[in-house]
Amino acid sequence: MNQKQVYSEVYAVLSALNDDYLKKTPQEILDRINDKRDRNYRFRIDENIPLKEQNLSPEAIAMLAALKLDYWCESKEEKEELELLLKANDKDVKLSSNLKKILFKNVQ
Amino acid sequence: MPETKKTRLPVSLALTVARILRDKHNIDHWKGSFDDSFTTEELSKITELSFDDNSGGQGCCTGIELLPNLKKLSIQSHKNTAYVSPDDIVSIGDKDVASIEKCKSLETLKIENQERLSWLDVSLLTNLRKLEVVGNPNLEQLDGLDKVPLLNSLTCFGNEGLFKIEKLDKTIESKPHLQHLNLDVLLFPSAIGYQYSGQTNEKAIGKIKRIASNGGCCWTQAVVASNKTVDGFGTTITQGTTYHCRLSNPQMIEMHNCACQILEDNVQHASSTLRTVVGVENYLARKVSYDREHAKEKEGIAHGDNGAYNCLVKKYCVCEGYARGMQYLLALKGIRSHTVHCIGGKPDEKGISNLTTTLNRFTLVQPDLGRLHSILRVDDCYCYYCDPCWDAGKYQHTGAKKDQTLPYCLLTKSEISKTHTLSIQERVFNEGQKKSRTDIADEIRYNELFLKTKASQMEAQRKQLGPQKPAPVRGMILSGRS
Repeated sequence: MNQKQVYSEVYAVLSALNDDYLKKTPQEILDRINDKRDRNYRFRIDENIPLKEQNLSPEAIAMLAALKLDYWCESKEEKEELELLLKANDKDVKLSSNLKKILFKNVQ
Repeated sequence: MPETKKTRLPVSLALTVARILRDKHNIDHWKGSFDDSFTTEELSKITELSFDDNSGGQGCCTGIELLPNLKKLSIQSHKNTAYVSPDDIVSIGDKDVASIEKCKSLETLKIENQERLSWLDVSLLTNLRKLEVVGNPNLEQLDGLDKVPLLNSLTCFGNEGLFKIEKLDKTIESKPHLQHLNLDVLLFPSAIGYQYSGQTNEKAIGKIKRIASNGGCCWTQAVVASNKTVDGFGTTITQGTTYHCRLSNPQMIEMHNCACQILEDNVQHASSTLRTVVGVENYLARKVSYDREHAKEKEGIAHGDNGAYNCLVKKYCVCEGYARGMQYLLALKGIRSHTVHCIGGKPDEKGISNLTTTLNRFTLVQPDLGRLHSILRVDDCYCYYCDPCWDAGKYQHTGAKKDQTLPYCLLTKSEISKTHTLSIQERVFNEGQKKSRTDIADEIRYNELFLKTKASQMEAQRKQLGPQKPAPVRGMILSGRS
């Protein structure tokens, strides 16, 4: 996976998201992703299945995490939650079930 | 004598090329067994190709980039695909698009009503002068227009999924040869560089006005109205026929200004998607009346009742006009939606057949079932459905049926299906498909996507994005749950 393909995958995800995410992202960043992507590498988002099951590269997911941290988080708490998760993954810390509940509010 | 170099074409294209060479140039590739290899000189003779319902379909354009002198390509289908089984739909696919995008000699490209076309990038087509992309229901991306220097004519409308075109305003502003524009009404905000803060690109607007003053600009909405015909079995069928509702440039500007004013007066800044939808539908229910007079005489189409202009400017229209008007208002707020064709009434009620069991190439409904109806699906909001027309009818009713609670606003598919028979495409084949963009966003919002992502990986990619920029100041909030 080269970096241009990473940009292509992120571009595909951005295209599948609603516009609120684009509105929050500076134009320079969007232009950079668009200009640097590999136009011959077509990554299609299948809208029938969850994103996490679509074989996105770890690098593309990491770039989405960076975008979320820098531009998309709505609150300080949301930002801290993601930072906590990323750091825990770095250290391979096993999350307690309570911490999981806090981090993944949508997961029952 | 040196051996002449030959190029082997994919079989489908080889057959098409061989037929043209035989008919126009008296070159026969059927001597003995079929020869699917061609000399460069033979390939250079192909300057024009056309595919339709009989000759098109998946794979018809694969390998087309091997034709060095192809200047004109036309791919058209005439069927209304909303009521056709996917197996019967004639359409090019992704592989064809990949070939078309590499066909650098193309000067004229027309792609119409191709169900499986989802993206098109024309950035390599540097000789392109005329581009026509019409009625492709699933086209979501049209890229690279800004990279086409000689573009003279751009026609792009009726592509239900094409919510916007990136850098369209810059394209219009910077193309010195551009003399003809026929764009979808929904693309007007992209064309003028409309931003959610209300800013526009004045240079693009000036250029559009100049093109319009030479008679080269109009804005189109492809609308569908019912049309009764008799099929080969003697059965009366009702099917949708596409009409084009055209607006002049002054009309388009008038409509856009009306829409901005409506939003200013009825939707608070930074409202959530849900609140915006309710605010817009509430306005339409209160202020826009159903044009019974023209609808009764079946003249609504001629009076523009199916378009957004009548809904937003004249304040009267028919069902599709409500849906189109609402779609434009939501688009200005960055909310994606699309019109859904349906029939007012439940399946198996009033003789409406169960579409899943009677499905064949043509038959939609049984005789005398009245009119087609149009509603809206809000793709950015859990794919909820809205019927602003019926809500207006309830709201403005003077009798016992008066209901001002917007009973047809933001309904799920099962809820709307209790009172509407959705088109076959929407009801049967799209079942379970088209995950809401809000659902996709939720995976990011709730960190489900980042379960295995490490901080070090994130930092590495953060560097790739360059230094952090200030976020746009637009006061927007994330859509979804209010």
